[in-house]
Amino acid sequence: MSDRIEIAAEWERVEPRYLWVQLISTIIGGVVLMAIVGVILFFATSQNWLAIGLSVGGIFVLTLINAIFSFFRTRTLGYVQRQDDFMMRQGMMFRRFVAVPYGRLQIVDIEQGPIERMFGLKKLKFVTAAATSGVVLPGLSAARAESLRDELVASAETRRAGL
Amino acid sequence: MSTPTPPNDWNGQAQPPAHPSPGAPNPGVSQQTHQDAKNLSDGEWHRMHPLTPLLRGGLTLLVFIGVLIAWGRDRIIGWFFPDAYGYYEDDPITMLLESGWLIAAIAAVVVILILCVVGFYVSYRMRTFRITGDVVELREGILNRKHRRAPLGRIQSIEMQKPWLARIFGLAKLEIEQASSDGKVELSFLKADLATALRGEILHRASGRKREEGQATPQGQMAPQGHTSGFSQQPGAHAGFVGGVRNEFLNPEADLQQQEHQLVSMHAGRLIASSFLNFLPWAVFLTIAIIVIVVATGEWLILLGFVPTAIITVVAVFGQLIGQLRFSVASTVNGIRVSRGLASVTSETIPPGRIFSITVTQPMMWRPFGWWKVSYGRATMPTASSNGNSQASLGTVLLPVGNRADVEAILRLVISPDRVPFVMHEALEGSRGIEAGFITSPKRARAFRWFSLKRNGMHANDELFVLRKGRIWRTVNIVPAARVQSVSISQGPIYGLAKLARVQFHTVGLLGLMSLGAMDQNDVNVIFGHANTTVRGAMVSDKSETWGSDGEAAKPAFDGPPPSPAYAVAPETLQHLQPPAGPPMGARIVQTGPPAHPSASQPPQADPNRWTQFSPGAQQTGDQFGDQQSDYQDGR
Repeated sequence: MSDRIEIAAEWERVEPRYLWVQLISTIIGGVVLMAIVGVILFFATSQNWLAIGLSVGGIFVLTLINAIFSFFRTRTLGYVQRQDDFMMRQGMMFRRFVAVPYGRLQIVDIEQGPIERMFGLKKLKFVTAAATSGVVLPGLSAARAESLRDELVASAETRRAGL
Repeated sequence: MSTPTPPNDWNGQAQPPAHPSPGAPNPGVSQQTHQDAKNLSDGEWHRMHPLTPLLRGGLTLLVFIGVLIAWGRDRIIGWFFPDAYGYYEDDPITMLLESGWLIAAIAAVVVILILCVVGFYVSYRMRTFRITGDVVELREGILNRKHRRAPLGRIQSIEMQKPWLARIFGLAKLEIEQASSDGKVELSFLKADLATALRGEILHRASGRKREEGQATPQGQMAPQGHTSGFSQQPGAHAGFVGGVRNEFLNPEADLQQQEHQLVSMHAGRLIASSFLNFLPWAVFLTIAIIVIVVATGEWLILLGFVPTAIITVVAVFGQLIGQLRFSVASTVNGIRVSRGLASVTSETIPPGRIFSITVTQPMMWRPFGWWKVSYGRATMPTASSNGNSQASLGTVLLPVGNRADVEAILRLVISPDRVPFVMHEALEGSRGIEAGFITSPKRARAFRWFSLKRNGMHANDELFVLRKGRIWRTVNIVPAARVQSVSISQGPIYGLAKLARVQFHTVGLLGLMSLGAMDQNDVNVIFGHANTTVRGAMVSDKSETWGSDGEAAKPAFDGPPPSPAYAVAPETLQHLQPPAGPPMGARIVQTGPPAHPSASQPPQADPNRWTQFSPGAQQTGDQFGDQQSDYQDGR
């Protein structure tokens, strides 16, 4: 797949154990979805087991595929602090590269969900003045998340620009 | 300086009339008003106009009285037509009369009324504002005190609203908008001409033009009257214009009727026709659908079911029309002024650099008439329903409908004038590719852009990114590099198979996502690297926060890199489009796949017809566009 879109840089990768966070949350999401769909269909179709089986089975397969792809998702998550902007990449099938100039960073949030806490990981969320930037960097170790946040805030401070 | 200078000028000293006025002084605002505006902006706390509580709370009172009248409606009729007695036996007032609680009820009404009046009065007394050198502040509230500060440097726009009720009293309100959905400071209400002068003063201070900042007026000397009321004590004292007053202060136009540099004014007939045309395809579609349904079911009563929908639609279209009547755009020294409204008038001043993106569209049905619509991205949500016409979408429109000349006039306001001919000729209707400075979709993208393959493209220079899309519904997005928040490129699996990609520019506002798909992935990669370099340079040289501080006239609103040889993006920086880190990405990509066209592999300045036309100076830029202009004539 080397002929896909690619940007060469010294990418820093996220913690490999973020994979488990992805897997667990994918499986939980899949199970919950299966349960909801199953219960709804159970009452809606008056116990048409074929329909229920097909739907839940379909969700199961999708969840499985999603779980397999979370390997790639974790592996392709990366970031690099360039001279003037912060660049991030994500996705194997759906690739996305985002570059945010340091001066445009308004807020850098650190978040941690329950599953992430189990693995000691944290998530950085970057807020710019544009609602559509949508830059979220998960899978950082707690220490790295904080140091990266501090570095970015410091860079943003020195290069503060208007909107 | 034949006329006497007022004792407290801005600098506390007489100013020679050295600055020629950019426009004629505003005849609608008297010298006295300017003096009052100065007094109001002396850094002390001031109150609004005494009629404010009536206008702000007046509607509540009217509703209250209206309810009372409605209750006693039949009784009032009965006073005039005694024969009708008996029809109002069971209205609330009759019930009160019979129940013996009349006195208590009247007492309750009176108490409520008194409480209302007292409440209004106290809230009026507690509602004060002050304008200092760098901030506008508002304090309000009786129990819950609210204190709002609007730093002048972060003002997004100043909107002057004249609701019809306020217009009767000659009042207006100023809304000073900040970059957030709820970030406005509302100065309501002030005398209309005073509000105009105050707006000019606030904008002047925000512009950072050369003048002593801070408390302009020596306190104690001035503001003998200003501490009680925010309105002119001596109306009618039209003393004429004194030479000592700065021209920038006199320049901002007073009203719709008195705009000096009015560029575009809306023709009502065109507005109605365009609205109708826009609606026509849907109307035809709906009519056919309804006919089909009716014929299929044979049930004519179904038609009745569509009546409410039809009424709602007509009302919506009509409301949109009313809101856009008397739409006009004017250029002022402090930015663009957009005015609209018939009964309730709104006039919004957008300083330079507060327009985050521009979208020019042409719906299919407008094509035979050559009409266009221009909308823009802004940091604030436009005020909805505060002045009666709840047309939130109007707040992002720079031109509801106009011909090419109108579009050109608008564009001249918001981008560098020497870029305008290029946009007009190549972006609006053109579908030329690299020879016109546009990098377009490769041929293999035909499956994704059936009709617009040749048109789908992008131009970049050191000031703007221009995205050109759509052949049937033409769309042009113009993004100033200095306003881009972040850039992203993306590629899904299907684009991956076709080696295509999408580039997105994230900007502020409702129209925040400027996106162009179905582009060659190598081109997108180059665009990405180039855009990051350009945005960085444009950010550094952006001066729009205090747009007047360099002493130049406040144009263009985008305020990209100044068109001088000394702009921040040095040509050598632009020579390598690649990001500074890592190996040259362009080289790598070119090796992996055959480039769609030479541009992807060549350095930017090797080819004069490159899509990114880096111009080291304004002069050369003008020449380039001049050449292109002749090129257009040859081409057509």
